Amino acid sequence: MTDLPKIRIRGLCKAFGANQVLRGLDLDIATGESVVVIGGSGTGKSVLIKCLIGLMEPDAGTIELDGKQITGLPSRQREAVMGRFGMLFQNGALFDSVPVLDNVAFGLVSAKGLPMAEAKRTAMEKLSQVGLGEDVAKMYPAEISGGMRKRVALARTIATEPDILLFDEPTTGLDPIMGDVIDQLILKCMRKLGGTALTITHDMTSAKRIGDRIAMLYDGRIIWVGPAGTVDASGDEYVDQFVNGRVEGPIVFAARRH
Amino acid sequence: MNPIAAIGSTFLEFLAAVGRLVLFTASAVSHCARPPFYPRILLRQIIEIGFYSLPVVGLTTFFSGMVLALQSYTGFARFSAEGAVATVVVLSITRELGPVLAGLMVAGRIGASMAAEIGTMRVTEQIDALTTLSTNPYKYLVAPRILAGVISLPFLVLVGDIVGVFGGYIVGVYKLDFNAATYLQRTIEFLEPMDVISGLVKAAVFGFLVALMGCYHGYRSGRGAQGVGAATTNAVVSASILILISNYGITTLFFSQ
Repeated sequence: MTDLPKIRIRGLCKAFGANQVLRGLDLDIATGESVVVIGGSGTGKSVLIKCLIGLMEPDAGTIELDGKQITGLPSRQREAVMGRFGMLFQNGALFDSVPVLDNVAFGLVSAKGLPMAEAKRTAMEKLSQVGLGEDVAKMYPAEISGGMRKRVALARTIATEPDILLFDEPTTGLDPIMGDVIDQLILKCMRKLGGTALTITHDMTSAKRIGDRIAMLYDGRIIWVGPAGTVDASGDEYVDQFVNGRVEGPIVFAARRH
Repeated sequence: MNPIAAIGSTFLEFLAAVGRLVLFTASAVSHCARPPFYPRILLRQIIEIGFYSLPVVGLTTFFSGMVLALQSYTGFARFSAEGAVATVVVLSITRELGPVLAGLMVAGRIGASMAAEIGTMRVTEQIDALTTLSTNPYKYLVAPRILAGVISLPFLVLVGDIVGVFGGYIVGVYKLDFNAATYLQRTIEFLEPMDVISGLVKAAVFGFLVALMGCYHGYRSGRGAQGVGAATTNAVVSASILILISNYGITTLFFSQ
């Protein structure tokens, strides 16, 4: 790891009307490191990841990638930066209108400019990496199970071999065994690509499995960061309440306002 | 709330909505002219709009032509002008009914479908996924649909014109006992190229409006099934209203002295 973090986030703020979701969030992620951000529903985890990838413009604060600021970039430069990210969406976000193979090949054609035949060959290799065969490749997303959709989405995320991987609730909605399968695949992909990863989740088992460090998001800020192995003995009352899933404690679960 | 403040707030919201639509339109049009282009998606949309709308447009214009012949005959008979039926049918169909009916039918069929499809993509984060895969959603989703609307509607209207005139011919010859040759002669005699051209220009504008409204409301769809439903309704209603408003504007451009 070098001194310069791969991703440096400083003072990130984002509001939706009167609802201030992020209130000056700071976070560093080193090159090759896997950081998991945990936090309750509606605390702004998805907003953080969307600001990072450029799907939302923050109201204030900076995001630096390899020391270069990427917030407020013109659209062309933004598109170039976006090519370095690969994102696994919460529900897969697979394109309904095309088969699984075309979904995985999509980024190879649009971002890497590969000819369709070559893109499909590479896409098939990526599908086999996540344990799916040619029978699934021909199917449409609506015809496969939730676990399979997550695997296809993971194959699409890694297909372009991005150097930064973003995972939005990778195990949400899956049974524990399938959650473990997805976590193992994520670890395998991260090892193979050697990339930097940011995962947001409220699944503590998953967080401990795939994270080098865990950060707790509460009230629009990161209130605790530490090695994944120490999260159960963090000494922070907010983290303890969240990790143990207790109702009593300092965390107040407000109704979601957006 | 203070009534004046309520009026002001509504007016500001209206201006903001107009501003959003103008920005969306400018962006969509600029992306229609700049590469990369997606010819396969364009072709698929042309087939969806131009080919699959043929039955509904054909049926609508066919029966409208029949009704027009019947109504104008009963009206004109009051002052012995029955001979003008063929001319009235062909001018009404080519100048007005063909493009307006086709536009409204396509607004119902295609505008709704575009809004629902793009709205669902918005809700299920597929549009965000496109962006993360280095694909501009305006280029991939909006531009091909708008181009397909502009290309397909004139073709549909041309077919609708022919079918509508044929509907009038059927009623004129087989129900009202016009001589077939005389009916056809009167159909062609007073028809000028500008009558057809004005209808085709209207069709292109209506195609643009239908696709634009479908894409705009789908793109800005709210969360959940309710948001997609509202987007679909708004797309059809706004496209239909804009078709009727722009119809007057184009008619004024072509035919006001």
